[in-house]
Amino acid sequence: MTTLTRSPVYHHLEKLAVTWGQIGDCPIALTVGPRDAEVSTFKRLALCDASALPKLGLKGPKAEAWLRVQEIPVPMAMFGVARLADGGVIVRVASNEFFLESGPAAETVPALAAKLKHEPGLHRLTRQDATFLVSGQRVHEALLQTCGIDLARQGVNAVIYTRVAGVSCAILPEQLSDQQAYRIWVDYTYADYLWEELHDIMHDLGGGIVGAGCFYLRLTVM
Amino acid sequence: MSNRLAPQEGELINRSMPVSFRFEGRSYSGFLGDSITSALYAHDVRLLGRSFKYHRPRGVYSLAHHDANVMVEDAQRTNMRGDVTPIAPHLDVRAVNTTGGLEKDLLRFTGLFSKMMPVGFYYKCFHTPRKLFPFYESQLRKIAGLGRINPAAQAVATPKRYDFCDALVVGSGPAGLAAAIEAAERGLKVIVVDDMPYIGGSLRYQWHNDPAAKQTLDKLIDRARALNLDIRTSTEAAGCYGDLWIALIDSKCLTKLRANTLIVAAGAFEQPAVFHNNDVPGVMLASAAQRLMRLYGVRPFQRGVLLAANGDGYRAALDLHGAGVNVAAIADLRPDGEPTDLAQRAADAGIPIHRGHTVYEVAGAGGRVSAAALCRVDAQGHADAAHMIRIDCDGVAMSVGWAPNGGLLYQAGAKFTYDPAVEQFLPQRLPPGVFAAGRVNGVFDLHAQMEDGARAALAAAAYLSRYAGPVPPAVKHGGAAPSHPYPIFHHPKGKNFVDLDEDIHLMDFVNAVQEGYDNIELIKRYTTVGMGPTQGKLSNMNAVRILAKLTQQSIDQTGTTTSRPFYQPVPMRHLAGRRFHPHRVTPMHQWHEQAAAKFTLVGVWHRPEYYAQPGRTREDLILAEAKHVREKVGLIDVGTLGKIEVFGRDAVKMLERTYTGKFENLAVGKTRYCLALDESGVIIDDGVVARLGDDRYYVTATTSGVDYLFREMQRNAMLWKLDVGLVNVTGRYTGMNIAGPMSRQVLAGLTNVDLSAEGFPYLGVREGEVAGVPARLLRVGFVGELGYEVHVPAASGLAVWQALMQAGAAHGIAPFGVEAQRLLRLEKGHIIIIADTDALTNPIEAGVEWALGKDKPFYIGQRSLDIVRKQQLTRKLAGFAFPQGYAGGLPEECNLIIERGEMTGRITSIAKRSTVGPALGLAFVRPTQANPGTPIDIRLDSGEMVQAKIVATPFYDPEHARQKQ
Repeated sequence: MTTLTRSPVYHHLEKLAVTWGQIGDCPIALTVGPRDAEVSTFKRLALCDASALPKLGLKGPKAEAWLRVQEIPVPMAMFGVARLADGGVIVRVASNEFFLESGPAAETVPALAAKLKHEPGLHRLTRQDATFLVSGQRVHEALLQTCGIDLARQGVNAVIYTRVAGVSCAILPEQLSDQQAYRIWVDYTYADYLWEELHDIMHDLGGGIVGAGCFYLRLTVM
Repeated sequence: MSNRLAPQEGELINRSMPVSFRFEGRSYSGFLGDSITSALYAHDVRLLGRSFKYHRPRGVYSLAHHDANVMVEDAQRTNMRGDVTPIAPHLDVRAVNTTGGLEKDLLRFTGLFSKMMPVGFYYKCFHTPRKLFPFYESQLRKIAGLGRINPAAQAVATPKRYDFCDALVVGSGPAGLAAAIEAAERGLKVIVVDDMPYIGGSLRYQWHNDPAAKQTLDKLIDRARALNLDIRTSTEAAGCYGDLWIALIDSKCLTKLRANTLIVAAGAFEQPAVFHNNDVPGVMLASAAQRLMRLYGVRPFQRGVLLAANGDGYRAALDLHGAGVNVAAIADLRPDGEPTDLAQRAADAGIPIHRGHTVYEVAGAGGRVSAAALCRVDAQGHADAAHMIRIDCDGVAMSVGWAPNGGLLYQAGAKFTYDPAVEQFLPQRLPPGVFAAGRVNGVFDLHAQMEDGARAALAAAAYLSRYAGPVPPAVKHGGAAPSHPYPIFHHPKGKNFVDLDEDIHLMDFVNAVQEGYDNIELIKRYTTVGMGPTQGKLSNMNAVRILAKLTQQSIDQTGTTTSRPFYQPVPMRHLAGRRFHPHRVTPMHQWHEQAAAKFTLVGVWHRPEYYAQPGRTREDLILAEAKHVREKVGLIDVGTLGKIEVFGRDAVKMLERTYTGKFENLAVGKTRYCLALDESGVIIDDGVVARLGDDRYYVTATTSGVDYLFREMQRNAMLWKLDVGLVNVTGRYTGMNIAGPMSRQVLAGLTNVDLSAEGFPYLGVREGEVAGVPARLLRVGFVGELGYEVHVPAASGLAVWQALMQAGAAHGIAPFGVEAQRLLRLEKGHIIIIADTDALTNPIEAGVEWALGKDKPFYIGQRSLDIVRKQQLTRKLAGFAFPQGYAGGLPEECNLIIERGEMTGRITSIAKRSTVGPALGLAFVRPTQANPGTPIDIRLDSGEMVQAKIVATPFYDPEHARQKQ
């Protein structure tokens, strides 16, 4: 497979019994270990790497108008979130700045990226954030050990900017596969550290690593 | 002999589950649920600890967190409170602070010399000769102290966690449970904590002879269960910080709880009376006797005396009587005795009552009470020792008053005043969101406590706008005061202890006041009252009463000491907890690991310092890596470099003001060195500005300085009201620098960018692709060779790095680390910010005046530099080198330059071996020393003086021909 891009935690996953898939040119772990065990982990406490999901940033006074022309639903509130057609999300991260991440179909962001050019008032931003998904019955306990925000009481349509294990992150509470889940975006270069910390804590709480297939049933083995 | 009572409802122990453990080398058995103290006491083990200073025998006193008589340690832990530490299989503990064991403690006779050791005696006796004080101190510490840490103990990892609630209720007694239930019924998210291992507080042991109390407890527990209340036992609210951050400590971890409101229903500490030998094992608080009986099914003594000053004492006497204890007498401090029917009930039980009497002294033998002497108390509160009633007994229980468990309230900012109606400090003014209920609030009647709890909960709900109805007024105590105003009695032989933690008796206070320590904070420091492990829970109130009397002030005038977190001792492992040390790695980190890189920490980044090879030294390898760059081609990971995108109509204005140089005339496709100063003209950062488009710039910054620089840029952009976009893309792009004469050949096969000298000249910037990845290429000369910085999106960094290494294999490409780069740039005379500059260095001193725009209207630090220029220069950064073939000692960075015995500068960078031959470096020197050819004397760490000469920089390729190829 052509893997020009890689998740920052790829090296952690490649040591495991992983079934790989690919989004764009980036590998993604679809399953980790035996199915029964993975399902059990998923229900109890799960950590998943979804960094392969394509991302894009836009900034500038013309960004919102450009998105509307592309028929992208634009969240009005600061840190508000709207769903993209491919299952992804768009976040208003500042008054004139947006962050987009495609869903597993990986259609919307690549299509927008192909159209988006720099022009006065509209600037394309490279986004390389790692995306981690955490969920399960004990997810709040795991997050309470890392984060000083009461995530259990946050709404589902807004991103929270906070620190997780001492690192600046954006967190989106959401329902995935009928479970309360949290999507954590973190700087690519802090991702390795954060993954290790989250994994240690989750391991102590009886959790573990699962593949993205647990969250996105439509992802298929390549 | 066993002191176990018959099984009873409500006890904490499970008699079907025996547990064996060891104490002081002997085996004992107890039941699951027993504490160390209760299990030992059941075996009639009265001697459970030794005191801090005099090594006096100590036993059960409060059977709670309130005294430190029973402190034990095992191989792993020390200073565990035996009263609240559960027994467990394989538990093997011994008492702390003994020499030769608890019973045969070699220091048990120390108390005989107590008159020679008043408080502070060691400061007075052992201050000269001064040099011997460490010796004295170490010996004193061996004699007086607590447990010893075992440095070989295995580290225990503990998590740290946060938690959140609308209302934290501290205390699960009647007031606390009533408050929690009311709050939960109002829809509040409630957490209840209690430092004891059971819920119910005093309802579990203190109201045994009141059948309604049992029903009340059952009802409260049923309602709490129905509401699924989050009740955490064995959990201390150990500290209260700003914005109601509360530190919760349980056996596993520290929880930082953010409470929207705090309801303190923590009750009150029963207070001891002060009389001669009030610490002999067998003398205990009445509540301790009740805990022993009702929680653990243990009889406190066979025949005892009860010293009372309130109804609680009579209840305890009846309780003891009911448990089969021969209550030989109630000595009631009050001349009129107990006003309620409890007095008649005690009389009906055949308990003799001595009104207006105190226990004057206790006789003890072998660490056990053998008798108590009662004396009448006169109108002035003195014990009349002329008429003593001696009662043989093996125990004395005291119930003379209470002190509020108000530590959290004090820490939250509450103001307390003394209320003579209850003879207790009460919270008079509470900060917003903080409420008090129950005994801590001066409410002692059982049903009134619950009313007060519900009131506090309603007030909390109203504060959170979750309740709009009326909040009842605060409940007031009715009837006689539950505390005696002065249960303290002088005795000519002393040993009437006020503070059992530190062995402080009444006379110590008299002495302290006579010496001028007549303020509560001063007397605390001088006598150390309240400074022991229990932080004065059983001593502070009596200390205040004593000081007030000695100074003839009111209690309010005397005041209290400051309550600071933590209120209970907290295991160090809890404070350490799980430690987060965030660090960053570049996308190529795993490749470096596999290539045997040795890493160094630069800011928060792990960077390859050099690449190890078997049999070769670090210095050899660094020099070899540098030579390889000079001769062939090397690749270094510069992904850690700061990277900022600047765009928008005012982008150039932003750069012009942020940096010293000129950027208005920077052409698209070109780069220029940039230097940033602070307002005082001090260098704070440097890098390269690359112009990618008309209003689009890509700026590099130093690895450790970019975050500060970026914040300043953001702040200034707002202050200056510029139409500019700023994005810190440090983590989004990674970078690598391919450098060396063959770098162009290596790169050419991988990119669509024209790499020719004409198409992509020195200091140019291009956007294109490298190995199929969108890239920004910058022609830079930091290491003094033909080179290209390749910046690509982080996720593609490894692929591009691998492609370059693969493409370069034919040219002998090799990775090089930070140390080789430092050497190469030093040979070029390039400075590194922070290494070659410090917090005061300006560009003139650093020799980078060329980077200052001459005719600019403004840049940060410009005006300060105008002032600096008018002043005499005091130092100058200059290159120096040792002669070829020099074989003497070489300096380290920061070694001093000495001229005629005076320090004139210091080494900032040194390369002991270089690709150009001699050892060379940069140093701050006096301006008069900065001319090439001037000898400088350098003092080595050893004190040896060596000489080098100032030389012009660059040391290598002064025409910069190689990097411009």
